[in-house]
Parts: sequence; structure tokens; C-alpha cells
Amino acid sequence: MIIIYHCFGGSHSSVTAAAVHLGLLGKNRIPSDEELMAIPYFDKTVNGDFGHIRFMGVDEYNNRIYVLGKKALGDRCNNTLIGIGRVLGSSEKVLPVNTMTSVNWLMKLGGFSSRRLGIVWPGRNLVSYGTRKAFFDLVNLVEITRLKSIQVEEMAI
Amino acid sequence: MKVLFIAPTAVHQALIAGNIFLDWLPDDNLSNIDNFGDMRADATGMPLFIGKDENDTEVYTLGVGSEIDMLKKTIEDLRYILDYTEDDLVVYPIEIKGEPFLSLWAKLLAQLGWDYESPTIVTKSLKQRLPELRTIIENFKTELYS
Repeated sequence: MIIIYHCFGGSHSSVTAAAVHLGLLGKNRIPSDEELMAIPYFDKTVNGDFGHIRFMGVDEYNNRIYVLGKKALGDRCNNTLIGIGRVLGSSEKVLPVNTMTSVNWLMKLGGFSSRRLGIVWPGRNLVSYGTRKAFFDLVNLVEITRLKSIQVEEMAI
Repeated sequence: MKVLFIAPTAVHQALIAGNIFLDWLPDDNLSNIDNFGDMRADATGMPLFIGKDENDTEVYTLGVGSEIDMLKKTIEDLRYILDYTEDDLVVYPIEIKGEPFLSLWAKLLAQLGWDYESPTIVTKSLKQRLPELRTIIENFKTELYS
């Protein structure tokens, strides 16, 4: 199965969720700034990355984990990804997850400053702090996603 | 093969393009097109199946808002990830003059409850662009089947 975590920029919440899913970050404690910055793609995306589905890794159930920056498409993005899967006859293989539900205003402000305005130092600190505050919400979302993926796999069998 | 026309909404330019592709639009009477201007059909963000042509090619439309190029990338990436190619799904963006204004107008009126048919100003404007759209789609079809 293909799991696509998506958020506005594909740079913070989606990347953090994917890292938790893949075990790059532990679930039981809030990661440090350094640990967040060590995640591939975290606060490192550029304008050209919008819309690209980027590979993050493979989980223990052989699900391939991806991240996507979808700008302001919101939940519509879920339907579009599932719909394209359906058109291709593979809708059961696609599980999109909108991580914007876990994003707080600190992440929005920090992400905007760092990625859009290019004010990296304060923006990165802010987004890092916001991500740490939202961390357990993201962990919860990942746990729900993992259960969903297992359910979908079982239904397919 | 499948062809997906993407535009700001699934039920205006993209739907006209789909109908031209299928040879279902002999004149400029847009009101004969099923779902034309019906923003309720566009609301979910799911591709809209229009029909099949004589070569068994399935035609779909999809509304993607103002981010046409970005969504094209996403759909093509997903196609690749799912192990399909351009032989299975062709994504064709419909970009015509004045498009952002038309979509904005249609979406604004849809928000106000006028979501079941195309507003007159949008329909008139699209009719004016019909010859341009016919040329674009006929060229695309020729290229696709050559």
C-alpha cells in the first residue's frame, strides 16, 4: 500500500508524521530540535517541490510512505488521490492522510516565515517549537493511519 | 487508455473539452452538456467520468482550482508510483484566456447557493472561447492517436 501524508508545504507536519510512521522518531517522547532537523525534507523544501509526491521509506508492513505539499487543497486532496487511484484501478492501494488537522498556528507562522519568506532562523525555531507542541497529535494520527492500513490490507485479502 | 482533462473546475472548460474529445458537441449549445456548470458535481474533488470514445478511451474531468500545474505533477507522480504510464493515463490541462476569472466567478456564485447551473456570464464567455478550445482538443486528439 502507498500511504501519502500531505500538508500545505510538505515540509513539516507531513514529514514529521511520515518520520514517526517509519520509526525515524520515537512515539513516546517529544523530539529535540536537532532530531526534527535531521528528518529528511524537514523545513528543507523549495517552491518546485509543491505537488511532487516524495518518497520517505518503507514501513514494517511493506507500505511505501510518501509526503506531499498540496498548498490550500485541503481535504479535497484526499478525494483527488483516491479518485486517481480509482481511475487507474488501484484505489485500494492508496491511503492519503491530511496532516493539516494537527497543525497549530505556530507551525503555520514558522513555516510561512522559513519557507515562503525565506526568514529561516526565527521561522525554523518557531516551526520546530510548534511541531514539538503538535507532536502527540501527529503520533495519534499516525497510529490511526497504521490501523487503517492494516484494515484495508485485511479487507483486500 | 484514459484521458483526464484538468481545469479549475470539472464542470466548465474541462467538461467542454471532454465533450469535444468525444465528438459530443456538434454546435455551441453548452446547455446540452450533462452536468455543465453543476458545481455540485465538482464539490468532492473526485474525477468525473464523461464517457468513452470509439477507441474505448475513457474520458474524465477533474477540478483542481488554481493549481493546475501543481496537480498535474501530483497526478503524474501518483501514476508513476502505482506503476502506470502515459499509455494508461494522459493528463491534459485546459488553460484558456480569462480562466481564473471564470472559475472565481463560478465558485463565488456556488458559495452563494447558485451551484446547479452555469451563470450566464460564464457560459457566454466560454462560448466565445469554444473555437479556441475545439482547435486545442482536436490537435491533442490527433497527436494522441497518431
